[in-house]
Amino acid sequence: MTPSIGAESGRSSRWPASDRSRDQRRGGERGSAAVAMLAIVPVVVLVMVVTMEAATMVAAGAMATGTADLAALAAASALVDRGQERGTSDPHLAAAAIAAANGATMVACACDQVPVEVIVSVAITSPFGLVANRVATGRGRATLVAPSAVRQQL
Amino acid sequence: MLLPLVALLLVATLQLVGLARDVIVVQDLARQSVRVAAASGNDGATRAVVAQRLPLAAVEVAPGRQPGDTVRVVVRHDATVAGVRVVVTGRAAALVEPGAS
Repeated sequence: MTPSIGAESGRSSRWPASDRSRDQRRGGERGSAAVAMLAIVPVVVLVMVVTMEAATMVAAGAMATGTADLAALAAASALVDRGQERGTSDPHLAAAAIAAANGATMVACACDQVPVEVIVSVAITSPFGLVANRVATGRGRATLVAPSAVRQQL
Repeated sequence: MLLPLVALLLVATLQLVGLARDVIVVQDLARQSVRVAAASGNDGATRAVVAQRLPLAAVEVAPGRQPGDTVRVVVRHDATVAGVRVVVTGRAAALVEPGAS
């Protein structure tokens, strides 16, 4: 029995087999955090990007709907003015002007009837370009009521 | 190392969602208040619409007093994202309605 072998066997007796296997496991797990990071971080970033894109689309949809309502109200107001011969405003032009003032484009307008119905579109400005060249459309409808009734409602 | 980074990204995502919510709320308030301005012509009532939800927001009402004029409302709200101050702005315009005083 050589001293070197004795020393090796002595170390083996002091370190149980379970510790040795744990050391081996640690060696096997080295670098696993980097692999997990490579898998998880892109998923989290993807969630961020999709969340922002979805929020942009929701905001554009809400803006289109609100703008369509305001444009329809403008057309209805112009219709009242024209009926009372107080002004020369064209309901179609009034709706288009209000849509443009709110950053939208009027797509269609049934402006010479009651209820007035307007459809507008809003370009979606995508923060990451995933929904490029898309528009959100909104439909608004307005009818004629007495001004006092409107003030009561508001 | 990994968990803090993922937590940081999740917190950043939540902050961005909060900012998006603020943008939608401010834009919606601008539209509601311009509707009041167009129907009533009352600046106080216009500002009250915004003050109910965002008491610290600044409201500008551009004059549009006569029926047929365009009234414009700008709402500015200070939001904070990750400690950075961001001014969220909402704009809306409407035609002053007949009967507005």
